[in-house]
Amino acid sequence: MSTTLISALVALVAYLLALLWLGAQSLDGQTNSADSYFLADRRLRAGVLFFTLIATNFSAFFFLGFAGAGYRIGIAYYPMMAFGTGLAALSFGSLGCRVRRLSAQHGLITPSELIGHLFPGEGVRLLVLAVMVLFTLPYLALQPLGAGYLLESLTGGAVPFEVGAVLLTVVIVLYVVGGGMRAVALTDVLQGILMFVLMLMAFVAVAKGVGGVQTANRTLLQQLPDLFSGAGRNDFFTPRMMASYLLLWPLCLPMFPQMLMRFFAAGDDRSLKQSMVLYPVVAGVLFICPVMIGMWGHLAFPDLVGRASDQIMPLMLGRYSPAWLTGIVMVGALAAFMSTLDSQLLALSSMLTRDLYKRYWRPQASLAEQVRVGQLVVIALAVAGLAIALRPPEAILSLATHAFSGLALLFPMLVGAVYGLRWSVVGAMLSVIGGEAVLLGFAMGVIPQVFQGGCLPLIPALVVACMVLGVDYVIAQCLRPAEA
Amino acid sequence: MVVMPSRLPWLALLAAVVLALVVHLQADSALPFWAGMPAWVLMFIVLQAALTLIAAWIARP
Repeated sequence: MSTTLISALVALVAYLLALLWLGAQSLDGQTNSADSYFLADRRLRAGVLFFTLIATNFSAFFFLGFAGAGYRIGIAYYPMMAFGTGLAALSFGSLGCRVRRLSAQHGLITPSELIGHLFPGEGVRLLVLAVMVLFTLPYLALQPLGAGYLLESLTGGAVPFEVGAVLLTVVIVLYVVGGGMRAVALTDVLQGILMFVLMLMAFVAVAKGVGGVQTANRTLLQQLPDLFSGAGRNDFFTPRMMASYLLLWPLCLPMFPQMLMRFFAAGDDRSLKQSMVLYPVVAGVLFICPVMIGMWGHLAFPDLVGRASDQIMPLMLGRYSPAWLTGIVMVGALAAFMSTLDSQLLALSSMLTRDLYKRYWRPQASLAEQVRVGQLVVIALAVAGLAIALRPPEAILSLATHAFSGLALLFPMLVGAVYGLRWSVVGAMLSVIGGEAVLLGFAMGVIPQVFQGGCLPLIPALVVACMVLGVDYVIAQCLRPAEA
Repeated sequence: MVVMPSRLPWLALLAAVVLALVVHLQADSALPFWAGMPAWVLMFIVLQAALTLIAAWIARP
């Protein structure tokens, strides 16, 4: 048995046991209420809130995908992601504080309940529920898929993909069912710290292996100067694409139900604002590590093509870092997978329980019953996610790639309403439906690509969504004097 | 025109975003390297620090 495999297995067992122990710790002080289970009694403060925001947002794509993108595109990927994420974090201290206060004042638990508070009737809240579930479920299914493959490659095939995906999902289900948001937040602290420390260790080890940052970059500049250009290799980041991405992150991040619910769970405004200030620092420091490791991959593995480049992180660790470190760092990638999956499971479970089961099926359901149903829904979602992961249909994968844009289209309607703009129900619904229809049109090739104008399809879709809201606002202004 | 104090950090943010797009527009691998990094990436790191300061400004009570 190799040193890498032994260290990986030891780290993996220790990590999974630590998760279960933290899950057990979270049972202390748990009351049998929906607020307690889904929102940790709205008491997440400073450090815990910060780490849960980090761990929920940074999926395994940060570990593996960033390095792959660094290999394929170059250094240009770093400022796009770091600056975009920093911009997105500004919503924590602005939108987040407002949402937190609204939800605490009115006892709101899910994003749909927030919408229900802002709009009369059922239409908008059901639409938002449908959009959030539709775009989060496929993304959720990708997590066990990736985790299973990672565990398989980490153990050299000793743990097959299916066994790995099931094992990791079972551990997550155990602590999410047992401790709800409290367990998710506590485990996020561990997972966030692991991600941070292990990524820095990986960077130092690989940088040392390639002869230092300066030497490696100067060598690469001679061989592949495009890696250091603003547009990246193959002119990936044209100025319009860069602007599109800088708009995408701030719009989509707060619309992920799992992120929005962290605003609900925050203990006070101060904690949200502290997270807002720290977030750009962490993104700025951390994101450069995997991107540069990916770029340096050209020095040792110059022939990777397409998706094969997403393996560049384990390949580089295998080549340049001590064997014991390779296994441990890959456990950090698993932590990134799991910290996103557990939050998605809990967010979707709360929405399906509160917004469907309680609202339409059993309005008289007690708080304890809601918790029990929520736990069952976590299990059902995990099983559904696993089923999709073991046999992923093409449509699901395609939907997952549009999840970010699909959720971002909720932003103008939802944020406008939170800030007091009184859209009509019809205007709000048409804005979301119109935007999503444009997105779908581009995805299916019904709308010619030329209408994207060199931007992401999100941009024309967003223009349509905002135009609908603009017309709705003007009509409301015109009708107001007549009503008076 | 009087600019409300609470709007100032958001105006600073807008300026930072415009500056980021300008830096990206001018970015070229032929630009000088400092400490093993292209100058334009270092400028983005400075902008990231500025973004942090703006976030702290917005967070002020």
